[in-house]
Amino acid sequence: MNLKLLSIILFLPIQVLAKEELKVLTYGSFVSDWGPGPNIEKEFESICNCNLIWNTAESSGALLSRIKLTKNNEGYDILLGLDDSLIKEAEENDLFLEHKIKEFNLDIDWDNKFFTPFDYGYFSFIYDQTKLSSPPQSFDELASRNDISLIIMDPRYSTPGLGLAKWINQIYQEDTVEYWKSLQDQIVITSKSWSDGYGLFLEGESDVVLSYTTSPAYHSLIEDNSNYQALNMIEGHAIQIEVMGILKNANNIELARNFLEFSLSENFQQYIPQGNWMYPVIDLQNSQSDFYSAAPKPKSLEQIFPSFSEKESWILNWAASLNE
Amino acid sequence: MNKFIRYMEAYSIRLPYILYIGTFFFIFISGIFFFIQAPDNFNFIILNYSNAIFFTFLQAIVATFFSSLLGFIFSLILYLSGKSQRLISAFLNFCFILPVIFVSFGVIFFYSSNGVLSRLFSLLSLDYELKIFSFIGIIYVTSYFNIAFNANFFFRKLVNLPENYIKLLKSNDIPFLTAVRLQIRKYLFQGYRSILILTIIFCASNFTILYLLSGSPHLVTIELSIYQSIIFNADLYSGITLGIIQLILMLVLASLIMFNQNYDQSLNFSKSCMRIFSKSSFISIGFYLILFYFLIPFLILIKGLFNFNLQLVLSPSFINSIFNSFMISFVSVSFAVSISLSTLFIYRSFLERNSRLHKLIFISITILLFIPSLSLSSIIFYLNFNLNFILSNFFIVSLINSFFITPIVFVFLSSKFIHNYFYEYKHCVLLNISPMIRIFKIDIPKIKNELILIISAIFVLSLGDLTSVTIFNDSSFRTIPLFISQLYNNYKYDDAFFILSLFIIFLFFVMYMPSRLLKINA
Amino acid sequence: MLKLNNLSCSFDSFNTNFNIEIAHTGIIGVVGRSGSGKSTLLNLIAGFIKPQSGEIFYQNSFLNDLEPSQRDLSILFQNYNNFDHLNVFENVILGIDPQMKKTPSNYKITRDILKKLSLDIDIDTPVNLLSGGEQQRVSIARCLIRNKSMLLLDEPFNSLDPGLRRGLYEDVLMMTKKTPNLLTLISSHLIDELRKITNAFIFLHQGKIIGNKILSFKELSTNKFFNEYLK
Repeated sequence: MNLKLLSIILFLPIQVLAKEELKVLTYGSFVSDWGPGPNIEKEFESICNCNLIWNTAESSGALLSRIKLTKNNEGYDILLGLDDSLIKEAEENDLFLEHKIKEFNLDIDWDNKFFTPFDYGYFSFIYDQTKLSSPPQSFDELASRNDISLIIMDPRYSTPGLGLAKWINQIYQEDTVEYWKSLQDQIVITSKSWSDGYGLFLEGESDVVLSYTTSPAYHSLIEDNSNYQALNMIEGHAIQIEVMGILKNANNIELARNFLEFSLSENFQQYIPQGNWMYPVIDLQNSQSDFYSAAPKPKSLEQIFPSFSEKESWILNWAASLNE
Repeated sequence: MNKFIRYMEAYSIRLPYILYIGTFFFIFISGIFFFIQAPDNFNFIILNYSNAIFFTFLQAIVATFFSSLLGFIFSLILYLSGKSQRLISAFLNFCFILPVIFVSFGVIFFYSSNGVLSRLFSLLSLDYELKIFSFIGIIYVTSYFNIAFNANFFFRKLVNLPENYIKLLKSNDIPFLTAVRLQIRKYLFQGYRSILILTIIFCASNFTILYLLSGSPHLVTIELSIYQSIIFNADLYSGITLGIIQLILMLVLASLIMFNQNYDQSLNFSKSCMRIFSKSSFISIGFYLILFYFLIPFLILIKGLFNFNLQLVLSPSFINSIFNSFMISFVSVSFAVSISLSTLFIYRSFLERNSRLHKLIFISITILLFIPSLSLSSIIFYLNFNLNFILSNFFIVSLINSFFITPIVFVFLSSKFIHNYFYEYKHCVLLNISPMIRIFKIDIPKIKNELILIISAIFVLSLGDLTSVTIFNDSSFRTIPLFISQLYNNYKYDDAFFILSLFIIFLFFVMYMPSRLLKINA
Repeated sequence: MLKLNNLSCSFDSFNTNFNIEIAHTGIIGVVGRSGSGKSTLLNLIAGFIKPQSGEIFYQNSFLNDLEPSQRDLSILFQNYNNFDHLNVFENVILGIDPQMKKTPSNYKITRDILKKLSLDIDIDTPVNLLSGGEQQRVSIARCLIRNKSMLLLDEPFNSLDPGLRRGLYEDVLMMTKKTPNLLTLISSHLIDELRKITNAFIFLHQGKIIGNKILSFKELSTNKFFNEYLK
């Protein structure tokens, strides 16, 4: 028998049956058993006739770095999990394709041709109301209350850490270094990652920890513990928007675009609140009222998309306060 | 024909070493190429890192000082306590290879401002001032491992103290501590230089402890800077340059102390129940204090097991991560053991031929100890990137793990392996014993006990290793440490402690089984 | 016949030059001060030391080119003659079967040879649990089963106490008597004990064989260096 024919017969069914693959690079907790990943995978695979393959990098802060190093030679289609402070840098490095989605009908203002948002949150400080009875209501008050100890994250390693640097910068502008200095004495631990810092706060290492306004929702909805609350700052809260984009070198651009569109639908978004513990980008007040009431939205500061050097200046401001 | 087979046998035994040295040079040369291709805008300002370099060595030297001093004192007390030598040595071994993350959390649990000790203080209405997220905490945890390491060295020395020394001391009525100070000091510190260098290396390549406990942005080691440059700044050049700086500084430090390979790890526990010196109550109290010191991190097990969660244990992803951890450890250990045995074989054959090349072989393996694993990882990562990701992350992680544990295996086994090599060689030549038969039927049975011990130890070490997984993070093979960190990232702290506790108990059995096995065979 | 022809080698300031023809069989004592070259001589014959010049012939074959294992001889040293971690059976059978296969015939061979040496021990005992004398007997047993025509003993029993030594010398004597054509070279500085089993000696002085031949004790006694050595 003709060998060519044989091989065609043998491999044809596999070729036909082989599903298309969509490879998504994201951060670890997104696709863990307790994150939104597994459910989203099921939902998407049920409509796309494809295989959704996740891969992870160390943390959200490490994602862009990984792609910059590899120029996406690993062949991912989508990078999921960059945040707004890295968007400019990502664009400057020319690593992404345009998503071509015309119109956004979202809970937040959005206009970017490379990235689509999939969730957002507000940075805040979490405290235990059984231990801290009169929580501060402004940054000035926080800095003046020397009895309150803080755990924050190092902005060089952690996105919430960078978020706080942005937040203080947004509020204090040229007085940022001064403000940081007035806060330094209260900072008992500057952890390298959000999870370490938050864990130590739960152990009772500080009165207040840097996190998100959505954190209390986890404790009240999952652990039935409503002692943990977020500070409500009168200056407003800095926003963090998490986005995804289609990578250059993507193998399956069409499928990737489908996924981006899917990510803006309820089928995707429904898993965000109690999976990633962030606000969904579409309004789900009706179906997820528990979540919204456990994590009320604070007054929002303006969205900003810093350039690389702006971002560096936030870190430098923080670092300058340390040298004393 | 016979000669040809023998030739092939000898080469197949040498093969793992040849492959190793090939890989090593391949990585080395590609590292050089990497720098040749460095972009023009790459400028490495060493001043930016002077703080990290200074602090790396400051904390290494302070921790080494405490580890040696306390290790020595502890070993004396443990020895004089007259308790089971086998058990003490196994326990010290176990403490040495505990996962860093476990000891760090254990120490936080006990010493932190809301920990066990501070609650005890407040019960007694005392002020608790200790700050564990500081230089003190870093030194404490770093020393924990290295005190165990140093104490074990001195303890084994004391246990193997020649009987005639003891008789001599007794007949001349010399108190033991006086003898330690005057007569047997030289004996006890024989071969200590290698331990000292190893201690400094372990202390200087501090990464996880700093990551978890530094608390302050000022406390940064070279390893941590490498991590930052590679993981967050996409700056492989700075990462690797820092790695080279650390390598050079470590080599300079080591050559000041000088390596000598007299690392005697024989396992001759004294069988004669010679009551050496009468026990004072001071020794008993000291013994229990030391025991308590080493057990402090284990207190967290109580907390962990309190949060028992059967559902989590039975979850497919947990079982999967156990399986993956096992696979990685198994492959890493196989790599490390075959490279080590192959190297020992070549090392000995040079000794037999009276060739000085054996020193080169020794260096070619022990140099791995000095290379910061993160830099090595990043070079390999870069290499793989240029090879279009031909190597799977699983393979790379196993490779890096095995590079890290191979010198430990080599150094640990070397003294027993080459013991009596001169006579053995003559007999093997006379009796026409082929290289394969020699290694499998004579050498391996000879070092069997040491081999089982070191395999279980490195198996545990690579099970708990997080560093290489950090760079080659890959959800397709989630390991136990990664599983724990994911729990952590999803607010599930109690579950994380529970899994960590299970993990430690499991490691305990991995360590304990071989020592049972050895006892049966003894 | 064993023939050494201008056999020389040198280390540092020590030079040897051995010349002798040994035509007879049986036990020959190799005596001399420590440092006179006894060990060097036996190691040269065994092939562990390569001579810088000169030839060794044994039974018409040219030994220089042969590996130690190809030479028709066995050798024992003062100590470390066994692999401590292996058991009695393995240490003995190693002589003819390096694979140490646990076959009934191998067991039988081992048992028989141990019986011959009146060694009444469990053959699965690790040798390091045996007494010094028993250990040396195990290594003698290995030499016996190899069935070579030359046996080199390099100060074999010097680390044992006198009673044991006597027994072992008797073993060697018995072995040599029972095996026709066996040439046994045994080096020692304990000349009185050697005299009990042989009256043929090679006396070494500063790397040379005195007289380049085998001497009886009587002949030796007339030698100036030998008398100095006895003092």
